Amino acid sequence: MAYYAKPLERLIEELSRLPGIGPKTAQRLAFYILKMPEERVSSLAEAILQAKESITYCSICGNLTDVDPCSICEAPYRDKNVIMVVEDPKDVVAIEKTRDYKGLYHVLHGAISPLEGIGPDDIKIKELLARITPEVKEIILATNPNVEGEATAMYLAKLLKPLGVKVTRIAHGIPMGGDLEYADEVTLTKALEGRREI
Amino acid sequence: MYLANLRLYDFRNFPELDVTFENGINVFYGDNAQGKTNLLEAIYFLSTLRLARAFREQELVRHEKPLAFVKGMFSTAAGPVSRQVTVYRDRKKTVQEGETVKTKWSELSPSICAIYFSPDDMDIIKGQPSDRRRFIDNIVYQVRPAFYKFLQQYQRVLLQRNMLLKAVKSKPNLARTLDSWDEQLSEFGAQLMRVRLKVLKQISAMAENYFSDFTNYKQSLKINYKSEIDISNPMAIKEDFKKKLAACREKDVQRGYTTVGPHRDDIDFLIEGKLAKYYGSQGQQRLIVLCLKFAQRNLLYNERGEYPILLLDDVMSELDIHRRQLIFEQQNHQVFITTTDLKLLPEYISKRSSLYCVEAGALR
Repeated sequence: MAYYAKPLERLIEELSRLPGIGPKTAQRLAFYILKMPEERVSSLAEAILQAKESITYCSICGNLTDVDPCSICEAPYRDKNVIMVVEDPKDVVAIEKTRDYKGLYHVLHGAISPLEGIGPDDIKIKELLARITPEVKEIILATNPNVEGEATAMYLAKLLKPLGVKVTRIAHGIPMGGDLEYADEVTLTKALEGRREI
Repeated sequence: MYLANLRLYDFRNFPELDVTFENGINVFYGDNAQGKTNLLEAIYFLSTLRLARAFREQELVRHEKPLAFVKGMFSTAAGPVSRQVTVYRDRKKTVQEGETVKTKWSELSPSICAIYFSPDDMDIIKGQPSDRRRFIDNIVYQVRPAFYKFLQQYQRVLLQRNMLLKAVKSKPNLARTLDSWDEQLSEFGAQLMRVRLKVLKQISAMAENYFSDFTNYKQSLKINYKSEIDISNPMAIKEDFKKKLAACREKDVQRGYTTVGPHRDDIDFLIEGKLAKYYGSQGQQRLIVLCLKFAQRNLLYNERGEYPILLLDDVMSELDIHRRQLIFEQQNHQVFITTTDLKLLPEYISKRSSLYCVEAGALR
């Protein structure tokens, strides 16, 4: 039994394949789109297509970009001596929001995870090694603080240190505004290990 | 702390029940398959939110009913606490304390706790090493709830390492990433072992004392943690674990899993220097388990300042009169006992106990 007209059903079906969107939300979005003025609908459809067509990966850092090399790699005011290694383009956005970091990035597009069959050759490690020139003074390893991100960071450190570059790892610890008593024990242990003199 | 009132609704074979208990010894007696054990199960589940026996939570619901609930009024040092656990056939259970629904362990009253002793617990002695690890880890959870985080992290790293070991067989050059997993495995493993050892040390000392006591100082019990890793210096565990991982690497690759670590450790129970698993009599083995449970009870008391409820399922059957008396001389807090025959109880015990006859899912 068909609840919807065929084209509507297709729209709902397509929407519900997006992450975070279940059948209920998909239905709500679809009905909303049907009520939208024609020009806004075509503008939405066009935006989706255009983004898909024009966004590529930066040939240097692997971040998402519409110009190659990307605006961060090309920016003259950025510090070319420091490269921060992250797992995902979303991490670049997160760090950029702090406005505190002025160096370059390198996006790995994943982390080492044997469980998902991802080894060191399946993420952008070769590309990172190719970027290590005498000009580069420090590599900041900012992979996620889970076991996969940690394994990736340790592996990279082992590869990079012999090249004579300074390798650092972002600190683990208690979130700001958090309560010590609510921090889990693993985080607390890590925070204790990484304590520093003030 | 004691359970003052218990209400059941469609729980196992009990359609409805409302009963009041005394602090002290409560005895459930009656024929087999009437629901004595189900009552202990209900009290254990309500107190710990865990199942005493191995089946699924949904099976707590009475045949063909949509939901079951267990509700209890506990009298604690901090005042009365009412707790209700509702189990549904088709969704997650809910826990309510007072008027509010609780979603986190840390929100629940820390005073309420129970220890269960059933014939199945003989697995601690006779079963696999994994049964003994589960036993000690469960006690560790009770005194250090955050322990499960370490265990979770350890198991995640272990899973990843084992997958990698299997992959290395066909792609040998992947072995270059093993070091980063070894580092993490030894880190989390050492933390895990340190906590385990600390708790086991406390439990062992008390259990060994109980054992001497129960046997009139005729026999001695010794409990040892058994590991490939050198545990003599707690602070050096990580380094030694790493060394052992390196030494076993070739073997691990060949077998496709990690052959050394706390996930392979075991606990030895020795009576007069001989392994109880092979040389102990049924009675001795039961006595060890009972001593462990008593030790666990004392440990919880030391940690929380209140005795947990002790649930003894059918302990009379294999202990001789002398030991039976000793068990009850220990009791000064709330205990629930099941027995098929009241005559098995020493008379001076049954005199000061509250007796409940269990018959076909009802109490008389």
